[in-house]
Amino acid sequence: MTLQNSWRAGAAVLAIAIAVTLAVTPASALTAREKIQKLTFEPIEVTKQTPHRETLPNGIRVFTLEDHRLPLVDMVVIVKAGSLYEPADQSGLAELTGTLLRTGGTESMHFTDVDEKADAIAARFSTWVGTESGGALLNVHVDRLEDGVQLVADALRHPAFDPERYAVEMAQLREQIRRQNDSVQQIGQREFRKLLYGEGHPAARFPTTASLDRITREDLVAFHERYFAPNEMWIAFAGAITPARARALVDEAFGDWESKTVTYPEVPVVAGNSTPEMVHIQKESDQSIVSIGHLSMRRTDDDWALMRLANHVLGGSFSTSRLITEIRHKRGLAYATGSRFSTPYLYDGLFGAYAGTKGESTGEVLGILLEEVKKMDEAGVSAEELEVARNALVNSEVFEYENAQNIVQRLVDIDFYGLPENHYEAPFAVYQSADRKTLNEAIARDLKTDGLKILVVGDEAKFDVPLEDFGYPVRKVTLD
Amino acid sequence: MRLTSHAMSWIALILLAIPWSAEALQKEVVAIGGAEITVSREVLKNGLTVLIMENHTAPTIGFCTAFKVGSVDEWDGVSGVSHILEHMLFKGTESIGTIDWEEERFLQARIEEVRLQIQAEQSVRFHRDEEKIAKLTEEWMQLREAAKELANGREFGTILTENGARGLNAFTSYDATAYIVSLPANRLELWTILESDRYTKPVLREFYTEVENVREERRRSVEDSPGALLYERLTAAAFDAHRYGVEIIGWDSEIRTINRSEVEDYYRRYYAPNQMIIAISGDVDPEKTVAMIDAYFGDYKRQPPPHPVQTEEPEQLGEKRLEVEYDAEPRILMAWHKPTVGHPDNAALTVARNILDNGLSSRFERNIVNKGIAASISASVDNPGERYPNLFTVSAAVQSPHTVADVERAILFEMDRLKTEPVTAAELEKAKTQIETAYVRSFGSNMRSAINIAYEEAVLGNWKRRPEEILACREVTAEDVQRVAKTYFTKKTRTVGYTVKPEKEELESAMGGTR
Repeated sequence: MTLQNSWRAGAAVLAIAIAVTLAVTPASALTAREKIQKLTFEPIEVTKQTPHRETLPNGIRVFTLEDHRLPLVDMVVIVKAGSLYEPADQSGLAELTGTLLRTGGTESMHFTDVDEKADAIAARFSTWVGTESGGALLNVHVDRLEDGVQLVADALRHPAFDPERYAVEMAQLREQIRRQNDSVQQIGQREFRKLLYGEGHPAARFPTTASLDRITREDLVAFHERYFAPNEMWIAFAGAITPARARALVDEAFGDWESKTVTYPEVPVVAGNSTPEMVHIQKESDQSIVSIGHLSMRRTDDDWALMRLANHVLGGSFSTSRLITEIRHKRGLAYATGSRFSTPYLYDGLFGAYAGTKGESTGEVLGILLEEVKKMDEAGVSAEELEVARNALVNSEVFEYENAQNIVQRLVDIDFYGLPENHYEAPFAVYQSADRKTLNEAIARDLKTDGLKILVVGDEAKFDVPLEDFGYPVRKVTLD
Repeated sequence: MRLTSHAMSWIALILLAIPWSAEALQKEVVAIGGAEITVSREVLKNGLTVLIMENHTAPTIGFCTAFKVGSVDEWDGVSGVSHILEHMLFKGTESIGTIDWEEERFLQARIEEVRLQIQAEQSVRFHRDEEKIAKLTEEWMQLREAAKELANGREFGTILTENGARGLNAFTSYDATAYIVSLPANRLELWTILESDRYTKPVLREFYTEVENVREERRRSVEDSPGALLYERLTAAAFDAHRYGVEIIGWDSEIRTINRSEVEDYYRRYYAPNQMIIAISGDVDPEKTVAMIDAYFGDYKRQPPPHPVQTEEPEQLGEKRLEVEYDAEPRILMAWHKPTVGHPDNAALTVARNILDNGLSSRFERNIVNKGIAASISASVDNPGERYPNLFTVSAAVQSPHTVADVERAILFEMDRLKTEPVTAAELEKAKTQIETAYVRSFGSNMRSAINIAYEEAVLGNWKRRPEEILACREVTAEDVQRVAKTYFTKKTRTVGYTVKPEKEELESAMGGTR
């Protein structure tokens, strides 16, 4: 990626301007504020690099973007396999499958040999199955790339799910469950999802000892067999590698893998409701975690870019947002506070605002969160706030082109989800042009303050205000 | 001044002609792991060190400003002051973040006066004048409210955010303090103006509100985290004298009671250009960048260097053990005293750490996690910091139904095995490759590159000490690992801590019967 000449010239002009300023005016005469008011910025132009793409006969799509700054290569494999497709009563199946692809050995290599090999080439090598997709990540020195790609291919194509390693991973997942209530932050994140989505949806399904009891090693074998196929696979390379080398490596490692038809179960519809409700989880702790929110849009929603602007104002920006201002800057009530729209592609997302505060200010903070979200819903953003958010998002667009791996990953996502080619660029045009009226109408559509769910995790003995005082029905939940 | 426009451009030309020809910038190149790390260095007249890495991949820049001061430099009664100052340097200056500085200055002074009066009154042990305290406190609260009307402590962050900043943040360690941000490349001068203003004319406004946020940070990052709480208490036990024994964030009672004037004293003592490193990685011209930094930071006055930490940790005279009660599943943390970077044994200890714990094939993973004794385990060679002799630490989460004692035995078995049998040639080679590759990887982005070189320059005196240390690891032999294991992994110099679930207090004499 190279810069255009206009910027180079601009830098030289700027340097002269400084020298002039300082030569004739004592530095103390101008304040920093005055100095920055005098600045003008040359427009930045980015030469956008297009990754190389091709499709193998068996359907694997390969994307490559060269970056020879360091002698390293990133390889990301995405497979259409996720916990969205696991049976509802076997929560943990997809996750365990994802882990054991890497750790369970292969048909030709014992797992200790795979571990040994991966460490000997100093690779970062992991596999996973998440909610919407699964795959593998590899970061390796270019001199040891071939060995790395072979390890990845072997893991994805011929995993052994060795019973000994399976038992270890299963026991570790059970230990994680045992530890899942050790801190209020952990409890808050998990239980908030459950509260919004309802426990049945994969987006809020967490492994339990009961769900693990219903999983066998053979279920992992079957899950892999069903969903891992070259025609449902995308591979992205970034770094010290040419498209030709990438193609040759993939041919060698994956070329003889035959395509097959994969059928997917229906993605479960999110069945959460919009009945206002407050849940309190008692936990002895110095700090309470307070979250409020509701189910919301997908990443492909027409309002997505507008809500990114709105959320920047409400609680998305660390420096300028209303929640940071009211809770942290003005009142000193929280180190961590903010809001977000979490927006997946294949199922409904969520909106949440949160804060962590000492037990004694739990009620005060909850009051502010409720008030700020309602105020945003009713009155929207001001013209000045919109300008700050607009500038922040528009000016940071250059960072989208800083990292080769991110660039190539975006292209994979576009292909994986079947999105329009301008999917990642389009929001910037919205940030640039959005007017206040349009934005505030969208806010009124997308913030649903009469259906808020509230979660408080903390020690009731310390609370400044009884939770019942907020007028929501309060349900008390006890964790095991 | 308008009439001097001709003279102006004449002076400007001279200024441009003087400094920073291409030769003037010293280029430092380190070849490691197949990568070449190239850094341009310039030390300004006032002692400010500028380090620049060019990367023209995209029109972006990563900035890191590091000061050679961290919590290890603090003194009794003000623990956490380094970190509090770090927070306060986001609150603006005499021109950024104020509506009327002259008026605000007066209020800020008065706020501090009243604060000190309140504290003086509160320190009276008997017959304290509670009425006077209440009256002063009321006045103090009113002054603080009035000051808020004249200021906006968010302006500094807002300006950067509006200009497209990413990753605006800062961090404090035991050894150093660093301020980071990434900006579009056409904002270089904006950053230079704001950053030079920030360290020369800071106003620690909204101080007593921010201190409450720091206390929330402590609750979140220490008290709500059993692992972090165990770490805080274990290091406190491991060090009898050295300040590495006090956690960076400080004790709550000292955070709560610190005064703004104490933080300002600390700032004046430790923040100076000769204590400061600026590292820039990205789409810049090194010569022009140095010229720009000199133009804005040139007036920043050098100071006598602060006193170095003189305390040396006395030899530990026997094993120390502690328990931390916490309603969480059990964890263990073990620590052995060891020398730091620069000592000839540190490279062998680093290699030992990698053989014990780096990747699924390492000894801890294979022999402890895979055996189902621990759910997770990790070893570290650089806690709490690296400026002074430090600790080799091993922490683990116990896997049920095993106990902390089982995990401790398993860890000690592996530590002993390092003493009794040489590590294999394959293990040695693997560790060395991992250490080198991890270092190359750490230059993966502008931000990380800038942090690497600024931070390591601040902590180790020169960023090249790290790659030199890594190249020294190349020379480590199996005998070296065995020798350092015997020397440092001893019972006498170790500290062992467990978290345990709280139990009902009973008379201990009733439990055993006899003594």
